[in-house]
Amino acid sequence: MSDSLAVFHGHFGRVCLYSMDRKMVPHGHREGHLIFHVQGPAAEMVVNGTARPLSAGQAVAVSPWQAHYYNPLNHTEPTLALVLYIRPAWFLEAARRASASLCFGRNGIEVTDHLARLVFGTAQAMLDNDRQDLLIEDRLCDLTQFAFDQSWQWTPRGAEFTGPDLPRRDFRVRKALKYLQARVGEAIELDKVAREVGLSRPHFYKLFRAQVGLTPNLYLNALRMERAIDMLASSQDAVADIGFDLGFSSQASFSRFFISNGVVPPSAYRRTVHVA
Amino acid sequence: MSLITYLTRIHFADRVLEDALPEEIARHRIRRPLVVADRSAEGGDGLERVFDALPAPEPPAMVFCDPDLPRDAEIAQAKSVLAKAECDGLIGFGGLRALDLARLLGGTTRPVVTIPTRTGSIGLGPLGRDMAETAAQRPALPAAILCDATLTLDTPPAATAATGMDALVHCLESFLSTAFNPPADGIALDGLRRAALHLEAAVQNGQDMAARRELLAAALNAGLASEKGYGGIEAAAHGLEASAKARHGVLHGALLSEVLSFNAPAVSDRFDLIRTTLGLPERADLGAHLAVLAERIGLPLRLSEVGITARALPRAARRAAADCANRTNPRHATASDYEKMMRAVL
Repeated sequence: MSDSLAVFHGHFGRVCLYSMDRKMVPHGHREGHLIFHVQGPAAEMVVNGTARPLSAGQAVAVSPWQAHYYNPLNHTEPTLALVLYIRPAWFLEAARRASASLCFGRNGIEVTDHLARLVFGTAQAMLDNDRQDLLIEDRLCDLTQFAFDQSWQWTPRGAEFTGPDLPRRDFRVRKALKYLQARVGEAIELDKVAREVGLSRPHFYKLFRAQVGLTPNLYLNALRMERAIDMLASSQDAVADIGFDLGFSSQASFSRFFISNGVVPPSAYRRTVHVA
Repeated sequence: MSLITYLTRIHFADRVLEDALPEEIARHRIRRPLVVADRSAEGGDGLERVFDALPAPEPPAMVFCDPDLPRDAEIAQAKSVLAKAECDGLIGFGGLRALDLARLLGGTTRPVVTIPTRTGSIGLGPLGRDMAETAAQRPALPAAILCDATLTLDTPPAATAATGMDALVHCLESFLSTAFNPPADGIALDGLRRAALHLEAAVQNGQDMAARRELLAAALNAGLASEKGYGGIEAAAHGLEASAKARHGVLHGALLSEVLSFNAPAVSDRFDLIRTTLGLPERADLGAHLAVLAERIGLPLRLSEVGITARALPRAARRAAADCANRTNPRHATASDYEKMMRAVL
């Protein structure tokens, strides 16, 4: 069972220290995503269908709304990973590149000595309960900026560059996004959404996927996760109630969903989260 | 006289010091300034001009930067003078070190006016290597910058060559850096042209006012464009200077060509723009062209000429790879890449 060792929320978004041994389901989110190996066996992140190594020398950067999942390679021992969810608006202030916010130039990041020091420093600070580490935001800014800058540097292995996918969205997709955002937690039939925006079901799926980067189901899951994380961190509501509010029929099904989309059970997430 | 208001208030004109300094002191309500200057400026005409331009009749509190003093001791000493004299603003006067120290002391609480007398820095952009290592806080963005080319007339030829080449490389590397910033690209390219065209004249005849003005303009452009970050030449120079005791800028001539060839696969299209700007033929070797310029102004083309040995390279290369300038180099460069480049020009 994957477990959460520490979670911090702040202006930057979220940073989590996770012990991971479960394969996840493909998912995406609006935050930029950086995953660094801290210790344990190597694993991989599958981003848009391509496996990227997650090991001592290799980190993975995932742009907003890129579909991805974690895949352990060793099933007996968990991998300790530092996982960043970076709010694009926060990063825009620190970023030098003005193109679409927080799009990484490529998914594979080489963990240089300097990056490795930042990763271990951050992980240590997160585990140190006695010290309120006020520099965590600076560290995360550095980590993100370093990884981001590197992702735009040319390397001889140029084919691994993915380049930014500029958003060009059809009005029907925009309408569907609004519809879904307004009804998180309700039982949503995607057939109905397709009809609502005036598309056939297969065309809706295809267009949505092409323009958003995820299928409508995965997008809906991302919205549910956002809401769940927000409620776990900021409210006192019971975990089961949060699950019910989001349309799950039992705490068990909510937990299963939360684990497969967000690594750890909701209770473990709540136990370890610190809100700045 | 020109007032340029990109990023901050920048006065640019010959003898602008006398007009602009009292105005900026009043505008920022500085009553007791601390003047931070290079030791070499002590007793010089330039510093006298600063004192005369200050509104208060008595001489201001002073701190001199000493290249032989350890960095931490220098900062600690300057902080104590700042506190004792209850200064409410800073005037940085001189080269990179003095301007950096003034910006560090200013922090976010006290306004800083920088008055460059060298072209390695005008007080914008990243701190120099030794200050950056000890800096715990962000340096101040100067409230005003006074670019007065008459203050650079006394610079000896060797210092003109090193700091002029530094301004040129800042423009070159900002233009090539990975960051996306079109206005900074234009500014960098213009600065590169000015530096490449006038550097040699300024070194050969220190009293050539037009050349001095162009070189200071290049430094200003470099400062404005530094927002984009630098690249491998700057990173490698920082890595080597930590042990080599060479003035910043001296090693650029040796490193230029090798770093540009390394970067060529990533940015060869940008090289075309530079060739056009410098009026070079279509297939001209940019690195070789700039190395010729470096040689003509007396900079070494081999690292061993300044006493660097092969033994020092692995550590220098590791430092270069970790340097902040390496982050925006157009091609991803590791320590072993730097070591190869350094070895090639040893």
